[in-house]
Order: sequence, then structure tokens, then C-alpha cells
Amino acid sequence: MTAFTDRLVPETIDAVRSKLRGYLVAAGSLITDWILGGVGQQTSEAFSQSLWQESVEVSSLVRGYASLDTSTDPGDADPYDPANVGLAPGPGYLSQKGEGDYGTPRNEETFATGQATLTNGYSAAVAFSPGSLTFTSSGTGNPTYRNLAGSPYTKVTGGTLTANPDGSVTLPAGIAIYLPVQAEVKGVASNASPGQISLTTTLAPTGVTATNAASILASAREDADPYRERCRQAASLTSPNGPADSYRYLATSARDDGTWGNSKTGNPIGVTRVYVNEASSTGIAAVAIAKRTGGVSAISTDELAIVDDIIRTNPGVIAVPNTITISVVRATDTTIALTYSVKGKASLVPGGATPGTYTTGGSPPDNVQAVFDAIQANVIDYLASVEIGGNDQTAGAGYIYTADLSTAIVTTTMSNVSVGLYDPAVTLPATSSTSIAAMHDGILGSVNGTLVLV
Amino acid sequence: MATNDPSLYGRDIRCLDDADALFSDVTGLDVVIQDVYHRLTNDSVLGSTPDAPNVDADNWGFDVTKLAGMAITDLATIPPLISAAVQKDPRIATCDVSVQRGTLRIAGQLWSAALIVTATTALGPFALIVAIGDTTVKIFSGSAT
Repeated sequence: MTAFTDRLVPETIDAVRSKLRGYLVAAGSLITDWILGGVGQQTSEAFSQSLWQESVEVSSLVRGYASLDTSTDPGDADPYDPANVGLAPGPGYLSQKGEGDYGTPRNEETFATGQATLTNGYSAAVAFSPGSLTFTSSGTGNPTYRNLAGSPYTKVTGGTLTANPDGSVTLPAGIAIYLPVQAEVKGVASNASPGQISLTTTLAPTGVTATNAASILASAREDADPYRERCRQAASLTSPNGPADSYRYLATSARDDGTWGNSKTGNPIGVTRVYVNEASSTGIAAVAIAKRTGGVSAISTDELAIVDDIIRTNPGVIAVPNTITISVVRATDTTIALTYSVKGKASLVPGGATPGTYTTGGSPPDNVQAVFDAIQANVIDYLASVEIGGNDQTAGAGYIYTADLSTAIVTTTMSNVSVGLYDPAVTLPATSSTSIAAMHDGILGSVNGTLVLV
Repeated sequence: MATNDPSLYGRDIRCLDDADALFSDVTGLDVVIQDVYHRLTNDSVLGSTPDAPNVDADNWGFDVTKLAGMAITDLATIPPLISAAVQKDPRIATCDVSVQRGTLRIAGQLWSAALIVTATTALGPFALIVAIGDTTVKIFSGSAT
């Protein structure tokens, strides 16, 4: 331990008590009744707790500003403060340091957005305004959504929409339109799969219905470690020898309005992984990009065009040296189907469950389905943490190891608490590893899970 | 029987509701009486943080001030609670609590009921009277009249 590392960790309340009591004795205090509740004990305890809280604050400040590695935001895992991960996610020391010192704001979670299809099956025209309709998802937690203004609204079927002076729109009978909707609460908990949302407002007459043909998706807050990495890559913008990191920084900070870096306009495109080929004898550099959920399947052509434009057209920096021809592509997705079985204790299933054998396709009870969902999310998180090209790369090609998928399954947590799963058996992939070609990424395909609760 | 070594009674700041101007001290049996007085005026004390070893700090005592205005018939349920709270102090050997109903004159004031708390220690017995009125509760030393 050094004087500096000592400052990273707060003193324990017991250590503070002992010190204070030592000072009192040294100062000649005559108090010898230290039973809990005694006047002297309570007086010194008040000082002990105040000093301890100060110690916690001081060490938190030191960690917050000492380095990117020790700094965290509320909600991040913090080895020095186990309670931090349980806090509501939000900006803190890490975001402040990243933006202040590295000019790189952290990508916060967004509202889930997408399109609903609103159908007027009522016998007469119906008027609605932006925000006047409420939708509910049948997914976990039944998140709700509101309609945004269309610019303009896209019709599914023929007919004429009428814009009214009060800002409302009249939808004739028998007409269906695409309606932009946004979740009322930020975060991926409001994500909705196709067909999950329906119109719930009591203001709409019977016959007016809604559904969603495509997913309604939010972005989660950027994880701490990728954000720290992005902060460090920001320095590469001024380095003539570091264009690869420049490409990475520009791609991962790109936003859907064409801005990048410390911009706060628009929304993050959400590129989390970037591969840049290490050596090129031809002067042609290749850059492959992927989001958390994949490359080609997750990044639209419009988003690719934005990232490509940001990297190529040097928006304020010279990202691409004149001698280089660069090719920006979406990583090709290698789909990995997963079949597994795993055991767990029924008593550890949040909400409780009956011992037995459950399968993903067997319509398990909601509490068990939530465990399956959490396992799947954990595997997706793992795959999202693997670089484009996989692990143990040679010339950009590597592997995703089946054993690591097993580890992802048993380390599943729900609300930051381990579900206590054990004895995983992955039968698909049937081999010990899945090859990932250069500029490919692994994404989760069909999942068949068996959960044995004892 | 609780551990009850008189040598552990020690010395503390004299303070029932407040310390005096000279921060004079209190020793021996008076330390225990003072601590029992506080145990009857506080439900919890400091020391209940997760790191603290005092795991019972949240349920340390029984604050009798919440008895103000309590129906006389309901008071019968209170003595066991007070007795149990007082006996959490390891220096208390026994504690009996009885209820006196009806108009009582204690220290020149009229009260509607009283709880007589009699405790024994290795240094001898002592008594506290919890006088209960419609809006106030006060603790006296000595016996009811």
C-alpha cells in the first residue's frame, strides 16, 4: 500500500471508532463506560460516523478524479464501493472526468423509440394529437409509450389525413398509419418485440387499435469500460501515428445527426466494436463496425453511411491520411445457435418457482421465463464484449469458445443478484469453439434452453 | 442471569436530558440508572450502520413518550416490553414493571397512570416511575405516592 492507494479506500467505521477512542484516552478523557447507548459512547459515535462519512467522501473524490480506471458513475460496478452498482444509473465522476478531461461524453441510456401501426376500425373519423395516445407492452413490466408527432405521418392504407388548427390530426375511418412512438421511461426495460404493444388509451373509441410490426428499441447506457477506452482513444485524434484509434473513436462516438466526439445532439448510433486491419501493404485500410447486437443485422445502411462519412470526410480532424484509402463496412454476423441446459435452485428464482424441468419453448411460468430471458441477455452481453474477429485472432480471424458461453450462462444475474445457476451443459455449438472470420462478429441465433430447478 | 460485574459500570458524562455546564461525571450505579433512563426514552441509538458491531442498535430501547394518551386498559401490554428493553443492559439482573391506574400525584403533578420500573443490579436495586398523562410522559426516580 502507498499513501495514494490508501486514499482510494475509505476507512471502516470500526477503524474510525478505534482512532477516536484512542484520541479521547490520550486527551485524558475519564469516560470508561463504553456500553452501547452510554452518553460518552453516543457522543463519540456521532463524531465517529461523521468522520467516517467524510472518509467515504474523500476516498470517493480521490477515486473519481485520480484516473479513468478508478472513476465510476452511479450504477457502475466499483470494487471499492459495492453499493455503487445498486444506485440508479446516472452521470457522476466518470462522466465528468471523461467529458472534462477527454472531451468525450458518456452515452446515456435512451428512450425506446419505434413505429406503431394505428388502425382506425371505428365507424367514424378519430382525432389525436402528439402525446395523446398511450400504448402498453405485454412484455415484462408492461412499459408504456406515447405517440410522437409524425413528420409527416406515413399511411399504411389509402385516405387523407387532416391536420387541425389545434395540432391534432384526424384519421378517417378505415385508415391505418405508421405512428412514431417513444417509451415514457428511459432504458432497455422498455424495449418491445414485434406485436407486443397495443393501444390502451381510454380516449380512443372501440375499434381503434395499434400494434408494432418492428421492435421498439432503446440504447442502454454505455458500459464503463468501453467508455474509458473511448476516452483514451480521443487522444489519438491528435496523433499522426494513431489513425486506427482515430477511426475507433470517431465510429464509437458517432451520432445519428452526423455529429461525433463531444456532441450532445442527436442520439448515439451505438457502435461499440470497431476492427481496423493492423497492416496493409496496399494502402487500403479496412474498418469493420458492429453494435452490441451485431453488425449487418443491427446497423442500418443509413447509419453505416453516417459513420463512413464521419471517418472519411475529416469533420474537424484529419482522420484518414491522404495516402490511405479506407473502406468502412458493417461486420458480417456469424450466427451462433445455442442449445443448453443448466441447473438452479427454485428458491433463488426471483418471485419463486416450483422445482421441475422447464424449456424455453415450453411456455414456462413468468418467473422462470424471466430467468431464461436473463440468461439470453447475459449471453448477448458476452458476445457483445468479444471483439470483431473473435478471441485469439490470427490475421483478424479468431474464435468464440463454447466454454465461455457456458460461463456466460452460469454467471447470469437478475437485478445485479446472481441467480445461482450451476452445472451448465452446452450441446450446441457442438464443438469447443466457433470460428469467426476476419471482420465478422458473433451474434446469438436461435436459443433452446433447459432449466432444471431443484 | 446477565453478566453483572460492578467494575464494568465505569464513568460517564452526567446527562439525563442534558449535560450540566461543567460536564460533570457520574459513576457506579448512577451510570446504570442514567443508561436505563435513556433506554426508556429512545427506541434506537447510533451505531446501526452496516459496519457497526452493535447489531441491536435499531431496537435498543423502548421510548415511553409514545405512551402519552394511551388508553388505561391498553397499558397492561406494556410492562413486558419495558422489562425486556431494560434487561438488554447486561448490568441489569432483574426488572419488574407494574402498572398503577387512576389519578396519581407524583412530584406535585397529577397523572392518569404510572409504570413502576424496579430493577436490580450487583450494586443494588433502583426504581424509576414512568408517569403517564394525556399529552406527556415523564420519568421520575423513587416511588409513587
